[in-house]
Amino acid sequence: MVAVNFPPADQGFAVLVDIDKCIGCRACQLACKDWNGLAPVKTTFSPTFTNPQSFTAQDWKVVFYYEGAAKKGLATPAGEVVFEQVDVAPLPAQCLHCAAAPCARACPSGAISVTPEGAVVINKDQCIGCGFCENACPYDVPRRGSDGKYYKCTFCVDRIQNGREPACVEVCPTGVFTFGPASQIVQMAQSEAAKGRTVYGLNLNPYVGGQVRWIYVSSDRKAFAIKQHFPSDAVVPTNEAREVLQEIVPPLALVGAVALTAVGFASWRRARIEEQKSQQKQKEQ
Amino acid sequence: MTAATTRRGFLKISAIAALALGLPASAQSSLIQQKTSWALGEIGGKTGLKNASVTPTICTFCSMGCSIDFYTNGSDIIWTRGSPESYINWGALCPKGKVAYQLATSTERLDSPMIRTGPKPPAEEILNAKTWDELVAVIKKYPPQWRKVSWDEALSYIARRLAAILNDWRSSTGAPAQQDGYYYIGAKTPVAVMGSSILTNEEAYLSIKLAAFLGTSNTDSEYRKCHSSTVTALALTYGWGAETASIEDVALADVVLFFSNPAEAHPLSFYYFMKGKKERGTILIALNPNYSRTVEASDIWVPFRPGTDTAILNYILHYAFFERNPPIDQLPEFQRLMSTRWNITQDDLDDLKAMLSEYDAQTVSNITGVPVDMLRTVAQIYVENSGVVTSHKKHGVIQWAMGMTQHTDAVLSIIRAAAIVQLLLGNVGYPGGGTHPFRGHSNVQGATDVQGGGLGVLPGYHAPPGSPFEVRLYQDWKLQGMPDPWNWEVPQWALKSFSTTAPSRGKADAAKALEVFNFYGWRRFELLWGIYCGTVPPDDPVNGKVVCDIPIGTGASETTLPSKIFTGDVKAAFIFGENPAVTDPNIKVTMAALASLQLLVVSDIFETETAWFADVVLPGVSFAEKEGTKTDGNRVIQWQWRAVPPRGQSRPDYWIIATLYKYLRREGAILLPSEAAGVRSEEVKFRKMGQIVFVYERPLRPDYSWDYSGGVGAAQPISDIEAEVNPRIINKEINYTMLIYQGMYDPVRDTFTTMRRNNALRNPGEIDGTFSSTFKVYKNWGWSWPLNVRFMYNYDSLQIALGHPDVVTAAGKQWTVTGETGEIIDEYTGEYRPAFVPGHNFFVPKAFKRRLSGVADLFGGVDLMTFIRTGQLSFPGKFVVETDGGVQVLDFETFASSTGMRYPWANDALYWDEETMTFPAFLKRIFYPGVGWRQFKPTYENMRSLLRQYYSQLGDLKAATLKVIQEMGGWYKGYTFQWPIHAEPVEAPIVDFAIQYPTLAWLNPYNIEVLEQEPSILQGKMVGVALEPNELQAQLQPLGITGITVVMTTNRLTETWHSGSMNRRIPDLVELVPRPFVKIPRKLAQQLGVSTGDYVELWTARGGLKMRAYVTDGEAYLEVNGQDVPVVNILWSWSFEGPDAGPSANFISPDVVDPVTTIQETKAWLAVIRKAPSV
Repeated sequence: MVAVNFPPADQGFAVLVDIDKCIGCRACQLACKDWNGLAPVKTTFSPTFTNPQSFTAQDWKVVFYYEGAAKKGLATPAGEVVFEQVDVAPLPAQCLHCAAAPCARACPSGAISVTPEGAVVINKDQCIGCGFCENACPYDVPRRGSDGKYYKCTFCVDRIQNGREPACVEVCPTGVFTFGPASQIVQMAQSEAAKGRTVYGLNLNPYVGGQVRWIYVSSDRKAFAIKQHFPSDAVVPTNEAREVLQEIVPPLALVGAVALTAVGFASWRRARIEEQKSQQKQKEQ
Repeated sequence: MTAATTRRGFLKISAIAALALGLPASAQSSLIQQKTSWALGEIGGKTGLKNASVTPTICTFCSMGCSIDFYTNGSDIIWTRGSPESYINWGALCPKGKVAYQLATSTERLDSPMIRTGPKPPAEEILNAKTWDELVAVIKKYPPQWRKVSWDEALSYIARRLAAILNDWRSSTGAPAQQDGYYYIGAKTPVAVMGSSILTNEEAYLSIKLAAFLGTSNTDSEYRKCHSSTVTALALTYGWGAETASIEDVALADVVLFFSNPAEAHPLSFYYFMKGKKERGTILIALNPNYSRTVEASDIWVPFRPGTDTAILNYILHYAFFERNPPIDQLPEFQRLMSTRWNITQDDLDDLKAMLSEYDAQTVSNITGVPVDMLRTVAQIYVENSGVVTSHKKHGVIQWAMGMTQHTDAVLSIIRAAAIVQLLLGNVGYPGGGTHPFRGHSNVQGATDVQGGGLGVLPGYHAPPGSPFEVRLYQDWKLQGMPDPWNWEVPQWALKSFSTTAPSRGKADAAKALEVFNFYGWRRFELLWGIYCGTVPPDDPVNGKVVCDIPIGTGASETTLPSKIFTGDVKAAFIFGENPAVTDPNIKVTMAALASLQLLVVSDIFETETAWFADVVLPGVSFAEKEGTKTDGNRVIQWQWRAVPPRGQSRPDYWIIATLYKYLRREGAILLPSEAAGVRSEEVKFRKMGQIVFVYERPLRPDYSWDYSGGVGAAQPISDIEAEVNPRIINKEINYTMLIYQGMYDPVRDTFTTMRRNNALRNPGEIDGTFSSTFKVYKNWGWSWPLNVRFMYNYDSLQIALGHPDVVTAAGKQWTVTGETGEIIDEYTGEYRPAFVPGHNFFVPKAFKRRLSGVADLFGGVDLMTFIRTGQLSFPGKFVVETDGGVQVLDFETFASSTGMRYPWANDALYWDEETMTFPAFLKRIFYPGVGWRQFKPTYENMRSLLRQYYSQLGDLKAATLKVIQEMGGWYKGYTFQWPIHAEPVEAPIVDFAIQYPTLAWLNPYNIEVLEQEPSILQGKMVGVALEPNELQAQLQPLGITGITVVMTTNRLTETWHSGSMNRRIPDLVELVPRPFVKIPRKLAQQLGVSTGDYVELWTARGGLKMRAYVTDGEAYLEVNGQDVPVVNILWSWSFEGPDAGPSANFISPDVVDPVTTIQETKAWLAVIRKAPSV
């Protein structure tokens, strides 16, 4: 575990992801693979159309598809007519680059650096494959590769440090992603929220630093995708507890032991959830 | 429980234990040197980007024309990205475009010519297969067993085999000498040349040129099966069979009706759709049985029954005429357009309205399955946002693709209806009002253009001579000095066979204009191909011997070719870059036909399913390994540069075809009629003041026309391959042979205008400057046909938008214009001037004027064959001038200095004035002899009641249909089809509707062949059609198949492409969609007891196959006329070859075709679905 210096959330870069503009083409998913030299992965039929069905060590960006119901209004000369229909919303997902990334805090080998741009990057050479990052991530992002090391989106750090926007941003046909200085992007997100659109990524749990750098916005119509995709609270309780303990254990070892019991229980519960998730994943593959 | 979870659980506990032991939190931090900066491309191993060469190419997948920049180091591709400067994709790409470079790097590429050594699968065995698995077993029993050979061996082998086939045919028939004593060939030549929409213009052009030199009209390409119905229906209505406006237009629309799925099939188009949505709140309405990604991005989903598009379009007009108050025909703008730009009378309009009156909301709802309130909402929105209603403040776009085109009523009904809606609502010809069929392949528009749309039509849509009579008429036209329609006098002797309302000089009608357009084309081919078409002697058109090197007549289409192969009429075929073994309907029949050919030569980059049946396979190259032009879906022609050299022994098709010609020639496979007739040169003569004037002698040089070696100036060859066959010389040849492509090479400045990559808008005062800057149209990028017009039929839109005409200064003059004019090189100054003045309108440039009418041969008689190769201008041709003193024959210099016309060699001194713009859009269009709707109505009623009567008597729709045809002496006998009416697909889900709205299919005898399973080899096989659910169920009963009858339609995804021969070999795309599946509505799944991922079986009259089911609420389960109609959508880009194989949807699709263009009906047919018994 290393002490990590996080740039302030309003410094560095951020991205606004407007899923109303997304046509679900998955160019971003392949642009990511292409730029980062990630090998194709053998997949099979996906019941959700999402493929692979979640991140892999070779797929750092995945477009998820959600089916829901929506109210669709149409302007006619006689006024607005509303039809209630099925809807499908694609949601391009990747590491959200938390303002204070718990994975970086959790990494015992110091393999996860956070750059001044706000990119949270796993350094392959220093990764020991312990999986603390995976455990700490509230968004289920880091993935263990066949070499035992962990992989995830780097915010295209080798592009944004060299004057280019991330590969997925560059490739998008419909301008879903707006890449820019964090202060500006956060402001844009806030003004979208003020217009009544659903925003995900601001005002989150302190566990992730209160906000993330990839902020999602959508109309009411597509908001079901955001609700289905993101956890209601951006926190991993076991890891949060551990972090709290870390601060108080030395003076209070006894209390710590008691806490361990509590955390152990929480961990057991989470393991159960993980197990279920993992079984589902296996079935899909 | 997985190992990972166990391990993770352990890690958690150990972490917590460590904490409990009180280890210091940041114990190791000071020891770690963290990496915080990265070089460009470091993570993915893309080093060397900074020093890489950057080459723009044009994407090989869809027809948007996106540019892809290749970053290369020698032959290594480091990286690719969307070109940031392209106004089409602005740096972005879709997933296919992003990984398209892998076509150049794939390890599965063919790298050497190959000759088959194994036997072919026997046709009988193929046709006996009842399931996909049985078919694959038969095919795999007969692997090709390729032998890799050199190019020399492969081409010699092809030439020998083809020469033997053709010489046999020549000696048995006497060809090219005919029984009438003339010399010509055409439809009977037993060779077919097919392909392809993925070739560059130069390659596709050479393939059709090769066909012409082989003397065959059996030419066709992919466009037959994608948009032939669009091309024909639009060409016959508006003048040109193409998307009416370029992509910028859709951002100017206020409402868009999608009868298609561009978010998936043309993802980059959504840049402009979204731009419109953002800037003007464009309402996007998606009509589709399937909840596609276009529907996801649209405002509303209108699921409807496949094949009922006409009913919906007719209802929109029904609303406009009968529900709206006031009706649109009372609006002044409607009346203005009717009197100036459409060819209809009040009586015609009344006839149309009588037809439309039958398409009220309830009736259309019953037909389509769309609820009345939704239908009405759509119609209201579309009509209220139209040009006629808003006085052109707002417009609507209709956008479509295969969902509309692949029906047996596509030409006569569906697309005609769309074209008519756009005309009557005052949309087409105004910005934001385009008629937008999106073409499929990267160069399908170009291939259609340079191959004339197939069936032996010449490049540039110049129809070939239909008969020796037409050659005589042509010879007379030549003698008249090759006049324009207004200067052409149709000779008295020809009037019996050629019908015109304006035979004399000084007047023209559409018949004359269209005929001269053809003559004008033939002359260009004579000049550029070094061949002859006319009479011998040339000054006796009435009695001379007809000798014509241009194939005469109409050939077979791709969809009807199998039948011609079975009957032995076609014995050999060349297929360039196309995969009909997957893309044809009812592919079992196609495979059997391919296997029956005596010689099949396939050129492709992979061993495709079609190649499996070939005798010789030639390795072509991917788009990145060749150069040339491609025409995107909206007619913008762009240059594609070569990024990397060809892999291994693979070669561009331009090299393959031009080299093949030499071998074919050497072996005697090619013998021109003029050679057989002993004609070695043409004496060009004009008839002047009652005497014959000798103008000049033109030697025939067919072999020289195939010499594309070398190249000068802008046409310097780029490598050794291009030094042998230089596509830049071919490009110049196309510029001169095809009127509509004229301008893509600028001979005055020696530049290829298609190479322009300038995304600046033009400024007012420049040619089309106001147009470009007002409507944000990128006219300085590339070149578009015709004459760089981007929004066709834009005759007066600028005047209407500005409130006054615009003034342009060009070529030393001021021009008053009212719409987009395009540009042409001025014959006096060599500078550009506006072309279509005052603006582009319907049917131009098919109707043109020629300053050199009666004066000189085309282009002033310059030796074009030499000019395009060497840049040398020489004028064997002379100028014939009538003066008071008689007829004078002048040389170029004398003529140029006396008239000031120094540049006739650039553009043949063509011009368009108001008079040439007078042909209106054919809102009324007569397709068959007969009467209009109101008079036909009683016959129609009679036909329907007879059909009902015989059906109830016989209980068999097929027998009832044949009986009606017999009794009435034809099908729909007596209707002109001047207006589109709803007709059911051949395989109709509701028998009541099949009787009430009889299919149009039986207008074409070919479909009767399909119905009766002819030719004889098909008898008793599972290859036919079932006209209604009962018939299908009865056919399947002996096989023990029962289930739920569904309406089938086919689909493609963003990640898949056409036959799949490319995307199935790109592992990144396979990862996204690894196998085919069918989308089925949740309600149907519940009825079948099927969960998502389960296998289902689909059974049709063609056999059965098994696929996984994707269960969703986003697939239509309709109530049609009170009856449940579930729709099932099948992905079709798979077959038996390559690492990602899967059942082919076309194994079960029907091969009935549109009566006019023979496009297949693959978007609406019947199947019985059931849960697969076991996997």
